[in-house]
Amino acid sequence: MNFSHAPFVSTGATLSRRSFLRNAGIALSLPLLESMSPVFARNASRMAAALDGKPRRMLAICNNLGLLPEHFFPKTAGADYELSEYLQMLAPHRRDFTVFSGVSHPNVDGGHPADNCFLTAAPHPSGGSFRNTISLDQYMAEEVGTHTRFPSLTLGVNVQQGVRSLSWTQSGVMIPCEESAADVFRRLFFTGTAEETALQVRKLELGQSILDTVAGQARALQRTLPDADRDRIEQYFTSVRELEQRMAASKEWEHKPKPKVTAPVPLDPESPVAYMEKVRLMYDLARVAFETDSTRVITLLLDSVNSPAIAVDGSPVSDGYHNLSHHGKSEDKLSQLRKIDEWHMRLLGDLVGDLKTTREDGDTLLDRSMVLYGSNLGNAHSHVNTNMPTILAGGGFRHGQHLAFDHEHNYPLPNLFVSMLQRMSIETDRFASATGTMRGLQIA
Amino acid sequence: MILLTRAHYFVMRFVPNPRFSFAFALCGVIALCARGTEPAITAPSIDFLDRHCLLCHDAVERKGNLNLESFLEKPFDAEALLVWTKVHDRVSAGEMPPKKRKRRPAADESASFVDGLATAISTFESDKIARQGRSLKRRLNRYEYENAVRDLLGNPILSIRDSLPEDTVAYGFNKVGEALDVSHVQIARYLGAADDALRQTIAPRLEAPPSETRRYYTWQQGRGFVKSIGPQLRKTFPVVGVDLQVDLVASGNPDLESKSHLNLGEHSVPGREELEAVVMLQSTYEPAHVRFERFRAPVTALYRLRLSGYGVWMSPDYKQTSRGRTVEPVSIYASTITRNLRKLADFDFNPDPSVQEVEVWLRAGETIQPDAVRLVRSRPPDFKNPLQEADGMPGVAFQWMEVDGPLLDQWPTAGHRLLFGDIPLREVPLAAASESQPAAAKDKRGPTTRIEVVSSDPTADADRLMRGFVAKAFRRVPNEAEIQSFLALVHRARDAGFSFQDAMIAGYTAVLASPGFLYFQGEPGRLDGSGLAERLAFFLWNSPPDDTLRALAADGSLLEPKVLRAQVDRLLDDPKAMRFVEAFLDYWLDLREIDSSSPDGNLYPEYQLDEHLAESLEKETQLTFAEFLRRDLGAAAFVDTDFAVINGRLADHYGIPDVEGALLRPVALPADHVRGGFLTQGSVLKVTANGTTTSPVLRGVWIMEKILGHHIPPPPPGVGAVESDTRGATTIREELAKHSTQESCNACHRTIDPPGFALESFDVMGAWRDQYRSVGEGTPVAGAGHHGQKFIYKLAQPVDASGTVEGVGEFTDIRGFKQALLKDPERIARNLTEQFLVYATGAPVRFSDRPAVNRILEQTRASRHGLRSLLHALVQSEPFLIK
Repeated sequence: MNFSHAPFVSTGATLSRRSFLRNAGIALSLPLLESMSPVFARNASRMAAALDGKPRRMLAICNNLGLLPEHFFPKTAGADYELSEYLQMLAPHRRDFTVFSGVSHPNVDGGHPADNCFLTAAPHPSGGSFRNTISLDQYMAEEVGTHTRFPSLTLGVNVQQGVRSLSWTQSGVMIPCEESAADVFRRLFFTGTAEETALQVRKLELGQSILDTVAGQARALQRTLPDADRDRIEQYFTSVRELEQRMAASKEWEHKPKPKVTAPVPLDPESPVAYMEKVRLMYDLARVAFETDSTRVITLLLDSVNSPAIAVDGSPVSDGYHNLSHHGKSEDKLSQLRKIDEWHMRLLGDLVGDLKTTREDGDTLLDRSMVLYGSNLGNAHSHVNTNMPTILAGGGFRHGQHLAFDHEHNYPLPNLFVSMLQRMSIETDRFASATGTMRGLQIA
Repeated sequence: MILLTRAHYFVMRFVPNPRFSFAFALCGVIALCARGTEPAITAPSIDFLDRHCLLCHDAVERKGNLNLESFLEKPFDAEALLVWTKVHDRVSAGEMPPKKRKRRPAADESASFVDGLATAISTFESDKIARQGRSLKRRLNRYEYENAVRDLLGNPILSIRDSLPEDTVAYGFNKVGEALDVSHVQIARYLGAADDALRQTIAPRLEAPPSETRRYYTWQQGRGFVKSIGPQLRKTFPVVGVDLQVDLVASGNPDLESKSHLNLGEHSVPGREELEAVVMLQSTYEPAHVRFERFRAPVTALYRLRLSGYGVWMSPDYKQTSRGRTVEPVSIYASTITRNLRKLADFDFNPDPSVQEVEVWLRAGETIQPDAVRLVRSRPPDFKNPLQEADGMPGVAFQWMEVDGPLLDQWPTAGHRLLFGDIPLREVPLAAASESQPAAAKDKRGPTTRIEVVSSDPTADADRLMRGFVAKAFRRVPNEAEIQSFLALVHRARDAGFSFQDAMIAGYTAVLASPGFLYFQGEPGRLDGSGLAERLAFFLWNSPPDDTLRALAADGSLLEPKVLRAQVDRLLDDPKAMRFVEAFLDYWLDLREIDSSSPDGNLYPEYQLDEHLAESLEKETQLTFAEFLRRDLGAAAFVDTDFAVINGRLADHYGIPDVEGALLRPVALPADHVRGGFLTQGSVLKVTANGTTTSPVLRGVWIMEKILGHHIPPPPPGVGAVESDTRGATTIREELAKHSTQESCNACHRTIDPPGFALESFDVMGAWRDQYRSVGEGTPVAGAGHHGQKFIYKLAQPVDASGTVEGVGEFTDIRGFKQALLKDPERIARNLTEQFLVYATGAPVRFSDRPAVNRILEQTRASRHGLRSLLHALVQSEPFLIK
């Protein structure tokens, strides 16, 4: 061995420094037991998620014919953007919402059928082997649903039943829209019959019995296992217990009296012509459902495609809503569409205003309620699903801005959903085709 | 304990005799590392490290981002094992200490260090394996769960996988215990999915629906489209033979070029009904489609479908049809009301009318939608038909569909009988039915009654049925306590007022969510018969064992090598082996990501909405693997073969002449063709690209890891990715070259990049290219895409696919690169073996598995590591046979 040129000093230094550390005991670290890390990590993340403690809510609205883009999108970007014609109708709430442009769901195309993907962002809804995926609201309800009597509400106006909805389960099964504001109101606030309550309780108890059975078997199995395997079954056992607690929480709701409200039962208009009145009733219903904390997650599909010549400001427009949207640049049709769009903006403004004047603890209800308004169509005339008109109001974000993205190469809208999920205290950085959280949107 | 070790450590440092200290070290490892909390590295090793390694790899220098010092006093854990294994490998290969270092250890000094390290690692691992088993107890993943419930209930199209949360991947697969976690959401989903699957299994009616043959004419099936949107034509045309039936044009407008509203349906002239067919000039795109809506599958079962049709040629003015000129591939889908489509089969229509027959499983309520997939898939507002020629365009005439079925071998089905035996059924109105009625109550198309089992002796029936069900559901003999706890649940449910049927369903739901069903069995040591049957079946079928395997497990004969070998062949020859092929490739080659990127609309218009291509790419890889398995093709075949498993669409994509039709089959390749093997399959080239650009770095890493089993460390933090530019001014190679001059980058990139360079000849969907496409500079190319949209993209910089494989030599393109890889096929075989080991056993390949892997390679050398031979050897190897 040749050591005449060895950098002896340097080696020595290495040794002595290490020895010093060893003697000082700094290098000594307690090994973290394998078994402890998963359980601990999970609980820790749960606790972090729940730290805020304030209830967070979401109302997601899709008007599946969209809005005339030339009047909707602001021409300038940033915090001091100039309100567009339509957004002027929301001027009093300027600080309370963010408007987005240049956003869309990646690979969601095919025109009208994309409304079913408004909250799922599942690609190619007209495609040959399309299958829908879980919608934003159902994803939320799975986490926060047990805090309220109703995990979520799926509402609609003039909906073509069996074909359209905003709410979809994990396996891509449609959750049908409820169209009667009166029926939903009764379920929210009127106590059911004793039989109905008893049946619901019995079902939950059956679920708990199933969980008891499998938990018992997990315990028995654990006794025979080596440590590492025992920890895996422990995780199963813990999860079963957690689900059981959730069922117990749901059961409690059955015994709690429903909230009392002074508002009268809404009167559902019979004709689909009264579209705007229906929209107004649904907005009211959503507000009162949030106010009473009956649910924290609501979707509302405004099925304009399935709507006839609707009444606006008391008088019907000349043509079916869908036909109008194919305006072919006809001045007459465009002006009627504009009238419709303006009413949409007005009703949305009223909803935001109502949520702002309702208070919960120290906050306004709006601060705790995200209101997402948008459409699967960027331009109904050409059926494009890019450049989706999108507004997010409330929810405790830093608003008052126009987040403008590239109109040619859109920014992924599912990123907004990730931000909304995180605002719901749900720990995730993924949803559908999202690449992260919404760039430029900060929590207030 | 810790103090003791530290004292011991000091003693060791001053023991000069290497032999003595080696023995001592061994004792220390055995005695003290037993709980996995003691320092992994013993004194003689530390001495070697001190003198030869720590100068660079200490807490201060951290050369190559490696701080060995921090591991010196740590016990073996996952990370430490990786690091020490790496140290072992680098030193034993003579790569470390670096050659340029003047003071290098003597050969025997290095050897004794390497041996000591090897012994320490192996001893630690063997000890842990003896106590805990080689693999951690794990639950079924969602593929396995779906297959298990499908097999149990006899319904091969139950859809469960998508209702369960996605499984976490570790070591490349969804099979590893450490990553297969369980949460309350997971449990809730099991309950929901199991309840749903069980209720779908109950007979929906008293008597079997009549099995009949009915014919549905295309012209009867409602309208092909609602109206025209804008000025473009969306046409469906009635024909008899190849004669256009002008009098059937519903608009009554003889000028077919005008805004035409041709109705498909409701009109036919008496006498012509049986002859008439409907021509489509487009592939399905809402709202233009052929859908046999008058047929709805009455129950979930097997059906035989026959479709009659042929290709035609349509004149440019849409006034005349004539005999077709090509083979037209047709896909058929099952469709639900909510437009969820499920691919059923592919076949071809020819210029001569033919009847194509397929047997398919359909779900109750599904209808059939055929689609002529080669035709333009138009989308509004304007479109141009890319298949249009000067004298017209191709179309497909759909004449009729005939359905035989449902094809039932018994009623109620075997699944129903497993749940309720021969207990009498009765029909009850839905309104009066118990609370568990299906949600179909609201659906006007749904049934108005439901079937309920009526037990005259619920206690005895429950006992008998539950025993039968658990015995079949569990993959081992259930113990009496388990049976009793499921029965107790059933009785509790009945006491709470639930019907016998609902109480039993609750009990069965518990079985399908219980640890006995969800988790793999096995105690440390050799697997017993049922444990081995379970591992084997989930390996080669991705499914639970069938009755044959269970019988061989029960009498222990499966443990005999000969019997085991015969079973491997039986499993691989069974159609269920495709479940293995698909599940394995979904993870090994990332085929599950095949749809996660879409080709850019501006750069790659010809791929837009071309699902026939996308599906064929995936199938090619699966069927190639199946072909390898059938023919026991060797590891070298993974790099290159003289054939490819393709259909007409892929032949077109790959530039291979004279292949038509939808069916994928082995086709001999022209001499020296770039295709053959897995590297140049479109699926691989697609999953390694992002739809817009390709990156030699990403593709290179992928090839190194997936094909060669060489794990590339992640780039140091703060290094930005080199992005391709679609403006056409520079190429990705030029961008990369700027970085390759830095030695710190080049150390890894000289290994990573060359495979990626070789693949630069292939675009984001795997087609050959000589030039990059651009949206900026270059020669314009114009045309219309498969989606009917006009496009212009540019052809810009030429592709340079040359490179150097370290230690082998230079290559000019993919052909040369393949030759370089073929110099060492054993490397590919080793990687394959390791991938299979992870997949089969659910545990990573450890240091101590190396002898077993070497043995497998030795045993298969004669067959040049044939795929089937590898699987045989692996199944007989120690890691496979122990827990």
